[in-house]
Amino acid sequence: MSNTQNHGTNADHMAASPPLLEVRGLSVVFDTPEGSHQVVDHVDLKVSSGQTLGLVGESGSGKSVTCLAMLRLLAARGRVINGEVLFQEQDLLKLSEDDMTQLRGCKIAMVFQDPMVSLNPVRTIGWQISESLHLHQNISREAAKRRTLEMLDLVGIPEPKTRYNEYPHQFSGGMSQRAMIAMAIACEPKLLIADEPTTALDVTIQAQILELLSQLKSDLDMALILITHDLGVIAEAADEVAVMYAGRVVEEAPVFDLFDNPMHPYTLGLLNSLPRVDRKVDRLNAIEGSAPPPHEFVEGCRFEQRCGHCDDSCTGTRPDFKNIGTSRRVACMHPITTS
Amino acid sequence: MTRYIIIKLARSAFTLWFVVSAVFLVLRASGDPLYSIFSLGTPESTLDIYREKWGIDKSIFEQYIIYFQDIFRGDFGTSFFDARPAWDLIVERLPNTLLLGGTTFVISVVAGVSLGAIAALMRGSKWDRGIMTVAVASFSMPSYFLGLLLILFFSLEMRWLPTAGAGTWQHLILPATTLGLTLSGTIARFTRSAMLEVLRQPYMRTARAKGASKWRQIVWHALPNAAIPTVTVIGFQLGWLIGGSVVIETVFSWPGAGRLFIVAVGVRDFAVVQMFILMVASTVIIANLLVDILYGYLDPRITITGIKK
Repeated sequence: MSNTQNHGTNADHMAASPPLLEVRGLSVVFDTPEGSHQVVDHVDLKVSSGQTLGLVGESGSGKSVTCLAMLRLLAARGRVINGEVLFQEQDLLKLSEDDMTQLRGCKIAMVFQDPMVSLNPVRTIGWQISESLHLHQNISREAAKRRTLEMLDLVGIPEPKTRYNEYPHQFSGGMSQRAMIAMAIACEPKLLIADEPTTALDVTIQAQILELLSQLKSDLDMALILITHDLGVIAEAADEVAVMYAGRVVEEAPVFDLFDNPMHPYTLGLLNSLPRVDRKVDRLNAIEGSAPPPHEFVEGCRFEQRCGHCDDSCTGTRPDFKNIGTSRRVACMHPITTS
Repeated sequence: MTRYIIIKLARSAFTLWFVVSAVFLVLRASGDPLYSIFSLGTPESTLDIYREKWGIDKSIFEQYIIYFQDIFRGDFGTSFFDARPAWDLIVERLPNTLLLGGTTFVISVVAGVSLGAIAALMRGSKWDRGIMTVAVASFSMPSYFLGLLLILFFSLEMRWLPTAGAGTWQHLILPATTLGLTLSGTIARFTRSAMLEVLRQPYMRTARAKGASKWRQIVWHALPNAAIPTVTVIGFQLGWLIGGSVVIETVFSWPGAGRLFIVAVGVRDFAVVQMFILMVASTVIIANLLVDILYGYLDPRITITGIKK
């Protein structure tokens, strides 16, 4: 396992081997009694081993749906209408359901937002973690228990032997999330998707969990997709960032470039809305208006209504991605250029 | 644990005392049993002899004291009608009642839980609608009416099954089906809603995300959670089952304790009625106690006062 990879962009690395996961043109439709809404619209994403991709956006921007669609875990009313999900150069959308079941939890694992309700209340923590092992490895009961205790220890749960036999309600939020992470990484997945892993937790615990995820990522040489609406989390943990707005990716950039020099007006708006410690502000700079619901999605730029940089060209046609250098791109008719 | 059991037992004793006393009073308020046992025109002097012999010439209060003293001695009174101890009369009919009730109960729980689970898993499908239609129809229909319909069709029309009596397994089919349809309909409906609730919980998504097969998700992750509310309902239904079996035993002339009870009520056979009610009340209390204990096993979040986990 190599821990030598640089954080930030690594164009050489990207060019040398295909990314671990590449999503191309993924579109998801939700069927509701009022009609079908395309909640994810031609999303492209890439992530390589040892890298963290931060997927940031408001609630309803389609970040979770994108990831659930990748693992084919969408609820019955959601369906993928377009696109490819290439994992190790294999299209997951074309796999049989059995092969997909084999892959879930084994090569791709997922950690969810609310750990307190994402663990089964009537099963012990030990049972739930060792189940992952039994599902994907031909392993004896004792070996699974030993490994589970190791995992509990690895994610920083004190007294693993006692905790093994406890139930989720006896765990605090932070401890539950650690247990969820232990469960997800038990089979040493190649890709870990963490959907708002810290949102339900106290700020102090948030930092610990992010630290743990980063640590595990490099120890196990995993790829990590971190879904969040919190730019603070992105700044702390991500290497690459994809910003989503109203079902589309609007900007993709290495984390430092994104924060230093946001090019999409929406990204700029997000960054401006953060409270600053170095400046005295009376009011936060919120973006005017709110993100459109799926039934109001238009073909043209969806941020137009709230954007200060728009003109007539923004309406009607979808803004194409413009590549900026080798490592970033932005989908805007009038990207902001550094002054 | 001990404290919990003591509290439970004390409460159960109180409930039993209350039920038994109420029945005791209501029975004696319902009229003189002598008039329903002896034919009209029997001289009062003859009746008085029996009144004295059976001890119902004394005041209600005295009778009440004697009744309780006897209970604690294990004497549950003597049937006016058969001149045999009420205990013997009921106990010798119990195997039949247990056979009918037990068969019904086991089949209903198995059928109700699996059909309810299937309906939930195939929500909105033809199966779901079909199962739920039958379930609602079966528990909305009075059991005696359903029983008569079944007799009409399977016994009188098709001549497949006997209309009444007991002895062979064929005799068991109609009464058990009648009782079981109603019971499994109720259980299926509750299982379905419990399952639907469980299936949309985030931990079911976790189970899918960790690569558990469909079957495993249902059996190991969903059902144990859905069992918690379902067991409560099944526990309540046990009391209903006893009540229902009284009616069904009468409809199908099933020689069980329930039919004996109906006859005894008709002739104001005090001892038999009191004994039967005492037994039913005890059964319900024991069933509820079992549900409570089972609860602790099913749901680790529940710790009953006094039990340290």
